[in-house]
Parts: sequence; C-alpha cells; structure tokens
Amino acid sequence: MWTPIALSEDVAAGTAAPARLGGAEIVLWRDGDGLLQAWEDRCPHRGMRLSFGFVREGRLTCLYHGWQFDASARCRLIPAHPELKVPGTIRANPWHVRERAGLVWVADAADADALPTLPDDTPMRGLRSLAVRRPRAAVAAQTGIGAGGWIWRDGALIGLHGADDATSMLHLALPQSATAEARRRTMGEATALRDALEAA
Amino acid sequence: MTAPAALVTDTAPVLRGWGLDDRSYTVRLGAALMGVGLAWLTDRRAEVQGPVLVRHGRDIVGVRAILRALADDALHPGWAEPAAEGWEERAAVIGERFSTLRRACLAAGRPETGSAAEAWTLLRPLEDRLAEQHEAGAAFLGGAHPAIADLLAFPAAALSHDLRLPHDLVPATRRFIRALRAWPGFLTMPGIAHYQ
Repeated sequence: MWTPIALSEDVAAGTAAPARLGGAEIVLWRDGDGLLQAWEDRCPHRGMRLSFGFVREGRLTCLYHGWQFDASARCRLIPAHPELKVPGTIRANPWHVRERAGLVWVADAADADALPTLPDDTPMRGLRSLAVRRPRAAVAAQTGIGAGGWIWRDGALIGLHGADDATSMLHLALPQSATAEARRRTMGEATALRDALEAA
Repeated sequence: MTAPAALVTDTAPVLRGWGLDDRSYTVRLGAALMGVGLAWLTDRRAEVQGPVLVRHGRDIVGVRAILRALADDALHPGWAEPAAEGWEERAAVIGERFSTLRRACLAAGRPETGSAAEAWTLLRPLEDRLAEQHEAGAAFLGGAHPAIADLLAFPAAALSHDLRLPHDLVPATRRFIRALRAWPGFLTMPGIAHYQ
C-alpha cells in the first residue's frame, strides 16, 4: 500500500533527506535531474545512515567511507579500492516511490499496488509537513483519515503517516492555483489542527 | 561560491573557546560567515561557562553579545539587522537552553529520555517560524539574508539529533540548515558536516 511520506518539494534536486515509516528508516534523494529515489536508510557497508550522505554526479554517497550508489541502487565506486569492479550484489535496499499531488508516496517492494485514486487530477503543490506527537491511529481516528493515509478536505489534500509508535506526520498540499492568502490560511489551520490533536 | 578569506591580524578579536562546545562554534561560524577575522585560543572552561571574546582589550561574554560585537565589523549590513518579532532574543534562549541540555546528554554518555521532549518544546516554534518564512519566500528567520538570530538557532537545529529529535520530523528546519550550510564561508564542527 502506498503511503504519503513527505512533500515533493522537501526533497530538493541533488540532496538527500531522512524519513521514517512505522520506525523503518528511509532515505529520499534526488539526482541533479530531479529523479527521486527511496531506499532503506542504511549503507550496506557499515550501516551508516545514507541520509547523512551527499549527492554527486547522480550518485548518493555515504558520508562514512564514500561508497557511491547510482539510481539503480547498485554500488558503483568504493573509494578505498578505486580500481575494483564492484560486485552487483552490493546494493542499497530500494522502496517503491512515486510523486503525486505534491507528495512523495512510498510502498515496500511486496506491497506496491496501484497508486490511490485521488478525487481529481488538479495539479497540486505541497504546503507543509508537520509532526504530531500522537500515534498514527489516534490522528487517523480524530481526523477521519482512512487506511489509505489521505483525505481530501476543503480543497486541500491531507496525507498522514506514522513515523514511529508515538509520532505522526501530516502532509498538506493545495491546488497550484491557490492564492498566497489561501496558502497562509491553510497553514495556520494546519498548525491549529496539530495543536488540537496533541491536546486531545 | 567561496567567501573572502577573513584576515586575522594582531588586532583581530580573540575567541577563548572549546572545539566541541556549540556556543564556541556559533561564534566561530558567525565570524567566518561575516568575514570577520578571528583568532582563537582553546580554553576548556568555555565548555561550561561559554566562550569569551577579547576585543579591543575588553572581554565580552554571552554568545548573543559576542555576535553583536562581531556584526559591527561585518562587511554586509544584513548581519546586524535584528530579526523581526523578537526572534533574535528567542533564538538566543533556544541556543542557550539547547546547549545546557546537550551538555547534560553528552555527560550522561547517552541521550536522556526527557531531553527529547524538551527539544521538541524548544525547536517547534523554530520549525513553525521557518515554515512560515519559507512560504513567504525567505530562507532565514528574518528574511533572505542570515542574521544573528539564525546563527544563534543554528547549532540547536543542526545538532538536534543529539537530543533524539530526528530531522525527518522538522522539514522546515532541515531546509534552513541546508540554506545556512550553503552560505559562503560555512564552517563545520563535530556532528555538523559540510558537503553541499
């Protein structure tokens, strides 16, 4: 099942960003052309978080020993052994990832069915992701967000995922045509929603 | 883009600081980004008492006061601009409290359970402010140019994982960290890499 996990615009080209889904650590990264990847946030060499790394020439590079991984998740260079033809078995562990409606959606390899059908195809733009110090189930119950992890409310798309057992994240997107005033208002409402959820 | 190298002369201000202290780092970072020459002496006392800047024969204590003094010598007037809505003062409080919590965590040898909750309390207003600023088209607390408020808040933002507040929960803060890291002259400290 696909889960919204971040705003598309929060993963800039040429950067890596951390995310967690139910405690599973994920690195989201884009190459210089904007192609998005989602992998387990763990270097196969020494277990370092790849989200601490950096993107160079289309490869995600581990900060620890500089192992470089290309978009296919294969390790292509081990700096300590520059002449080595790196075996194809050395690779990061990818998740399925898509971008839709201004959000990044991920699914693990065994559970990647069709992307959810949203109410319409209005071009959307992410507004804000914000953490809620409440378990996902509690937030879902209070907001009416279903198992799919999203709801369409008052012209805004609200995504939800559980980062860990105690913390959730809301992801908001508005139509690209939304005015600056509408975006500011929705942002204020989102902050108020978060505070209300935590106070409940 | 690289920053002009700051000239360290015999009359340059002297920082008495400690390499692993986030407040001493704030001063070094501020001087580097402002383009102000700074000599520095290792002084372990700064770990607890905070850094001291010796400038024109006078000792200046308190990170905010030190940065204010350095900003007088900065080439770009943006550094001396006070951030709107009292954010310089708020950032100073965040920085000081964070530093105290971090010292306690590091001294304990492992993160204390309660520190994450207090880190949330400290950094949430920062995250909210930075999200609003981003929506308004500004990368920093006061606008498009970093100022003292940003320097004061930066170590708390960048080292929040020391208090078990992971960066995946604070995307606006992450964006802020990236923006300051990309500023010409950026310096590192243990736990804050520079690779952009």
